[in-house]
Amino acid sequence: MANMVNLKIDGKEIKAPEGTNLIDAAEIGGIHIPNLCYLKGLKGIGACRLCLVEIEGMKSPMIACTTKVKEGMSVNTKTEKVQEVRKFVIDLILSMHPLDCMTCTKAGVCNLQQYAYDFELKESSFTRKKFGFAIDEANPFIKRDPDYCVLCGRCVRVCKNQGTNVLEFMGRGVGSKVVTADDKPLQESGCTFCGSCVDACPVNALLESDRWRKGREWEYDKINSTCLLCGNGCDITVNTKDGHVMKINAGAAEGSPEKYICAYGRFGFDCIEADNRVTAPMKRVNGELKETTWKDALETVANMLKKAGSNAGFISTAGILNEDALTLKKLASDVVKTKNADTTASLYGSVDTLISGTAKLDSADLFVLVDLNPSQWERVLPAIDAVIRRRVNDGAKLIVINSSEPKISSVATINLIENEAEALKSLAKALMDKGLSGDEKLASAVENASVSEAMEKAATLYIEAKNPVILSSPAMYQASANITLLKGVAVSVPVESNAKGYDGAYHRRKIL
Amino acid sequence: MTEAKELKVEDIKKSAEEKGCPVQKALYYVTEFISGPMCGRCFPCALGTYEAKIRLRNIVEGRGTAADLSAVKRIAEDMLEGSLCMKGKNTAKFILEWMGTGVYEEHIEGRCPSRECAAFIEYRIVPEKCIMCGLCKDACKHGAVLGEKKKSYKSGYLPFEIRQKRCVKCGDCLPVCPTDAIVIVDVKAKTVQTVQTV
Repeated sequence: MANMVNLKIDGKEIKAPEGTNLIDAAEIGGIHIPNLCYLKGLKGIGACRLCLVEIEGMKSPMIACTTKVKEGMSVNTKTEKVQEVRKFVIDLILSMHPLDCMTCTKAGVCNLQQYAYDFELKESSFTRKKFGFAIDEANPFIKRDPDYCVLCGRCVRVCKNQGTNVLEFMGRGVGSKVVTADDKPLQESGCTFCGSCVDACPVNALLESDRWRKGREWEYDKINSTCLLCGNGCDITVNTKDGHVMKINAGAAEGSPEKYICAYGRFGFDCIEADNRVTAPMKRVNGELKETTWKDALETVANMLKKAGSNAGFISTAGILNEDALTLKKLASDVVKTKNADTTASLYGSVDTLISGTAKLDSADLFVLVDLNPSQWERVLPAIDAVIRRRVNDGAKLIVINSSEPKISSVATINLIENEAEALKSLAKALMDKGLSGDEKLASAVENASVSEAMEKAATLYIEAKNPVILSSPAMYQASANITLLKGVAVSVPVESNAKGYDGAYHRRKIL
Repeated sequence: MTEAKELKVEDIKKSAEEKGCPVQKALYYVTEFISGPMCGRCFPCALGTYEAKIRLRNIVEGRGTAADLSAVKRIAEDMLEGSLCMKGKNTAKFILEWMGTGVYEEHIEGRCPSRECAAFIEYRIVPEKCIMCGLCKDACKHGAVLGEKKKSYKSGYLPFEIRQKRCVKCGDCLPVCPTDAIVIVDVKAKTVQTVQTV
C-alpha cells in the first residue's frame, strides 16, 4: 500500500497515494480538471495547457498532469487566470475544428463539446481555418478524419506505447496532421486495427468505419462483458441499441495497461447477425440437414445417449465457460454415466499444467516469458503482448526464455534463446546460488545445471524484482512452477482459454 | 538544395528591432518564430502565434479593426500565462511591449506613425522642388518613376512622378534626391500630413 498524501483541491480534503499526479488526485475527489492531451496511465506532456491550476505558494500556474501530489498542498483549479487560458485554448481549437455538433457521431461524449459548453463558447472569436485534409476510409475498420483532429497526440502515444508504432505527427503547429509512415492509408501501414487509437481519441477524428448513422452515444446501453474469441478474455464494453449490438469498446479501467482489444474482438461482432448463422437445431433426414424443433432435437439426442451409455463421448472446445464445463462434466459422469469427456485443451496441456496460479499483470515489475510467442500482428494472445510492452515502457523488465526468438524479444531486457527446460533448471540453480532457499528435492534436481553469465544476470533481476510473474506455455508450466517455490507467481497460458491468471472478477480455472 | 538556416530567437529579435514600425516588428518576430524556433507542441503558442500573424497582417495591410487589436492583445496575454516554455512567453512579451503606446490604435485609425507600413503611405515627388535630374529613376528598381530628364535644348517635358501602382515603398529613391523632393505622405488619413524625410 503506497503512502497516502493529504492535500486540498478546491477546498476539499483529498487523500491520494504518493506519486499520483493532480489530475488523478482530483478525480479521486470527484473534481474534473479539463485536459485534452493527458492519457491516464501515461506521463503527462503538457501540450494542451488546459490543466493549468494555481498552487498556493507557487508564483505561476502549473500543469496538473505532471505535478505530483505533495503533503499539505493547496490547489485551486478554477481561478480567473487559468479559466481565461482554458477559454483561450478552447477558442483557438474551435477556430480550426469543423463546427459539426449537429451530425457528429461523437456528440454527447466529445471532450471539446463539453469544454465549449462549460466556457459558453458558441463559436470561435478567431479566424476560421479550413484544412481540407483527405479522409482515410479505405479500410473497413477505422476511419480517419484529420479535419476534426485537435492535435492532442493521444493516438500517437497510445500506438507507440503498445509497440505497434504506426502513427506520428507530420509538420508543426497549426497545419500539422497525424499520419502513418509516408502518409499512406492505414491498411498499407503496419496497423493491426486494434482500435486503441479510436478509444483514445477525444473527438471525432478516429472512429469506427461503420459508425455513421447507427445511433447517438446516449441511445446506447453500455454493458460490461468479456470477449470470448480467444484465451485472453479481454474486458469489453458492448454498446447495444434496440437489442442489436452496435459497437464494442475496450472495457478495462482507464489507465490500466490491460485496456486493449484486438481487431477480432472490436469488429468481429457482425457474426452475431450474419445470414449464415444457424439459429435452429437441424436434423439430418435422408442425408439432408433439415431444421427441426428443440423438442424433437433434444428427444433424439437423449435417446441416442441413453442407448450409447458408457460408450458415449463428449468433446468440447477449450473456450467453453468454466461453469459450462462443470455442468458438462456432471452430465457426462452422473447422467450419461460415461468416462469419456474432454476438451481441445488436451491437445497441448493436461490437468496439472492447466491449473495455474493467478497474477496481477498491471503491478508486475518483471515478466518472464517461457515458450510463449504473443504477437499483436499474428493475433496470438495479442492482449498479453500489448500489456507486456506497455509495462516495459513503464519500467518493468522482461526476460524471454524461448528456443526461437519471438517478436517480443526486441523489447526484452534479457533474451535467453535456449532449450526452455534446461534454462529453467539453470535459473532455479542460479537463484538458489544467490541465496533464495528452496526445498531439498528442487536443489538436488538442478544440482548439475550450468549457469551462464546471462542466466546470472537474469537471476539477479529476478531477485531484485518485487512482483515477478512467469507466463508460461502449458508444456513448460510445471518447470516454471518450480521457480515459484523460491519466489514469484507462475501462470499457465493456454491459447484458447484462461490465458490470464487474473486476480479478481474472472478467476478462471479449468476443472475438467 | 541548401536549407535555409533556422534563425535563433536572439537573431530574430535583433532583426525585428531594426524595423521602424512596432507593428512591423511584431509581425516580423511572429512570422520568423513560426518558421523557425517554435516547437509547435503547446496549444497557446502554436495556435496563438498563427492567429496573431493573421491579425497583425490585417493591421499592417490597412484592414485592421478594433477586434483585431483586442484579439492580438488577448493572444499575447494568454500566451504569456499559458505557454509551455520561455520561447513562447518571450514572443508574447515582445508583442506586448508596444501595445500600450497607442501605435496599434493609430494603425487602426489609418496612420502609421513611423511611416513604414506600405498600406498607409505614399511616396510623392514635390514638383516645385524637382530639378529633373533623373537620379531617382535610375535608383528605382521597380520602374515606378516616370519622367524625362530635363534637356536644356528641349521644351515641354514629362514631369517626374511616382507610379503608385508600381511603388513598393522600398525607400531607395529617398537618399539619392539632391533636393529632397520626394516626400512620404500619409494616406487613408483624414488630413494629409507632409513630413520632411530625413
